Amino acid sequence: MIKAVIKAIIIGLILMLTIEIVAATNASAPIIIVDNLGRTVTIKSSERIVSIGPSCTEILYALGLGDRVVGVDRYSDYPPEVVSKQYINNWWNPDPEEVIALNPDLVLYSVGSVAAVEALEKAGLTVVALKPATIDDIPENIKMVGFITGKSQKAESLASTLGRRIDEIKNKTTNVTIKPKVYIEYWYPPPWAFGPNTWGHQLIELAGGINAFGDAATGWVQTTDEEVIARNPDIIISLCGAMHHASLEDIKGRPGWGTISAVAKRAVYLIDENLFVRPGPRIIDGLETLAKILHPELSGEATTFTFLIDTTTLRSGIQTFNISGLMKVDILTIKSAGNCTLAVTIQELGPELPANRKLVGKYLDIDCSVPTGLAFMLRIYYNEDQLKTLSVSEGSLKIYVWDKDGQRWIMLNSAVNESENYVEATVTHLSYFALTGEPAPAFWEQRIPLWLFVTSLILIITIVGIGVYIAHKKGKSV
Amino acid sequence: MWTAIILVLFVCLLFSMALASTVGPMPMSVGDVLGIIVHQIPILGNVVNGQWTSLEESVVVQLRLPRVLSAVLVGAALSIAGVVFQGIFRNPMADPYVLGVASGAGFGASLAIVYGVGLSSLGLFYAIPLMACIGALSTMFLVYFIARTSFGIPVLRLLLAGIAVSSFFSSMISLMIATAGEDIHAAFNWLFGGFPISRWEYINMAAPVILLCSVVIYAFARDLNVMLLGEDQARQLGVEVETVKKRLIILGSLITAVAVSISGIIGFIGLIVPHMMRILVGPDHRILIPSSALAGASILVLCDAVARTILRPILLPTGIVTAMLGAPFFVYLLMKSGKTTM
Repeated sequence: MIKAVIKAIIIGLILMLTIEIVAATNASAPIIIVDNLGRTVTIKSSERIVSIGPSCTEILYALGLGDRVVGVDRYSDYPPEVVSKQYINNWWNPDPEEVIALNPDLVLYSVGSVAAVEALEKAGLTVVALKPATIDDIPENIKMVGFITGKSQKAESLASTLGRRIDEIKNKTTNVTIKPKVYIEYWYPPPWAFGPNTWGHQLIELAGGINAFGDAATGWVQTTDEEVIARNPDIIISLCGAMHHASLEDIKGRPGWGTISAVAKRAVYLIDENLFVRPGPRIIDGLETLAKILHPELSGEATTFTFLIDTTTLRSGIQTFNISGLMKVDILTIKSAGNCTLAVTIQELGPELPANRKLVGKYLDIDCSVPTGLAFMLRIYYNEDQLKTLSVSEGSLKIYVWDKDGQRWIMLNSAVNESENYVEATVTHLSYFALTGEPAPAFWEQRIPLWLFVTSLILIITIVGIGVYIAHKKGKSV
Repeated sequence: MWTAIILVLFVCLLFSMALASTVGPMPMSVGDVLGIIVHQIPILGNVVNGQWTSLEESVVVQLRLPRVLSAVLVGAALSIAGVVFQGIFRNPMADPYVLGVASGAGFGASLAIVYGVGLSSLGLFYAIPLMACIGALSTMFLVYFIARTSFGIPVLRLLLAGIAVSSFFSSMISLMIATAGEDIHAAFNWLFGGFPISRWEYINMAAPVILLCSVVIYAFARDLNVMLLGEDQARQLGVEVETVKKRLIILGSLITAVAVSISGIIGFIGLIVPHMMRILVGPDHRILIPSSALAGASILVLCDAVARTILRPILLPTGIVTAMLGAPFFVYLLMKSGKTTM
């Protein structure tokens, strides 16, 4: 399949080179290309185009061909002015009669079904089928569409921009060592994920991640809540569209989902689903968004600070490190088993704090090359304005540490220095840290008690049992 | 003898429930899972204290138990409804969906899915079962009023009205799927039947209705026995045939409607389980109703366990598994009984 596509592209390119010369000399000469299905198509003119498939429509509009489009499929909704076009009902199996009624001289079809291509062709229509296999085929297809429609120059520049953006991401992510596990959800309930052979899967891999459902047997995977929980993705991408949108709050409310690493760290992102499913120019936007989420460190926003702890100087006194910029933190080492590197990452996202605590500043993720036997004093600074906007009282400030085994925040014995505006605590375990304060007490949510249901069930079973017994007795007496 | 049958089937049900709640993608020991379940029961629960984590507990309590209990409820409800409809129609091909309840429910659910565009997932979570239930019950009443004559409800009229209304709503479902946009897999899913979404909320809504209806249906067991002789005979023996029939039709449809609204349309169970139990325990409804309920519940619980584990991580619709596993088993029973009685 891939071979055929590559072959098609190569033949297409050769033809392009040869025919471009012909086209230059004689504008009305027919154009011959080989489309993504390996079909040789002769195109006489392209003044009235019917675009079947949202990705085709987006390519045509990106090339400034909106005026020539006389009809689109009903899923085409981008750019917004598309909605004023005549539409045909079916994308998978378009009715040739509906297409003929629009009197097009060219039909651009994002496959779809091969049978539909044949049906359209039999009806006497000129059909160019687009079926990119990888993301690199998309710029090539744009070039092909540009060539057919006489917009080669514009197509070349668009394709090379897109190609450069793809390569940029690829170069950044080829060497990543830590690949987060990503679950892209496009429907719930029940959870539906992208399996292999989907654009979502390809985007995750290109952006330097691992698809949590990459091992499934089908493209689109209907699965269970427990399956997602067991796979424990690091990042959840919730695709939103007309039919589905789930916020972090929605996802947190699902049974058992609160413990998923992504939910605990609040690494749940809502993205327009059309950036992930349509092989058009916008899929590269989707790729860039995903790459930024998966590897924020690659987009140049460094938030990690490293320090060297030297045991020789440690003996003579206390070492102080200071993180400036995003947040002011002092680390006073007290004890260390040996020379080591301490890494402090300032994070926007972290595990969810207890309901009655509010975060002051940002989360800190502290890690060390020799994590055992290390003890230090952590000082996190705050300012009065921060507390005022959060309506947190100064006296309630505490440093919390995330207990990775118990999956909960633990309060550290913290002291507030109200004159110098910092809170300090002694740290022996490395994990996430957060400076928190107490706002007004939060409202308690009540659950439906299980015991009530189980007892009533038992009660009813007993009643039924007695009923059976009595009926049985009566039956005997008759 | 009857006590023994019920006891054996009850143990079977408990066993299949235990088995179904121990399988799943989260690796957990059988002891832990059972411990967690027992731990939920008041008083008795305090005896058990295990090493499980809160995650394991929430998976078992919030995900596996509701699923297993939904299967128990739906399996029992469909089997009882099957017994009732086969009894009053005296027709072996009758099943819980004979009065068009399934397509009515499907129509309601499709309406909720297709026109509930503005609703969030949570909104749909309540809207689908609610609309399914409304659809099922309105279909039932529609069929009932079409079939009603001045002197009662002739069975044949009821059957024909059921077929007519059912095919009308089936075509309405197809129409909606054909004209709806791309996001119709939710509707398809629902029509296949299964328990992709099972929550305590559903069980809390469905369990009281199903249990209450079952008990009331059981009270009609002797009337159903008499009606096996034919309506005229039953009338001569002092059974108020029309009243009994009316009540049973409403009860059977109600129980089916509630079951369908939490599980979608699951075939086979309501048709085959009553036959299976008739072969195994005989035609007396006093034993047939409870034993069918228990057997139907066990079978559906096991089928659902297969549906969610066999092609992991893909979740199969349970209705496919019930038909695939159940039909051959029924053929086996049929052939075996052919040698002796049937």
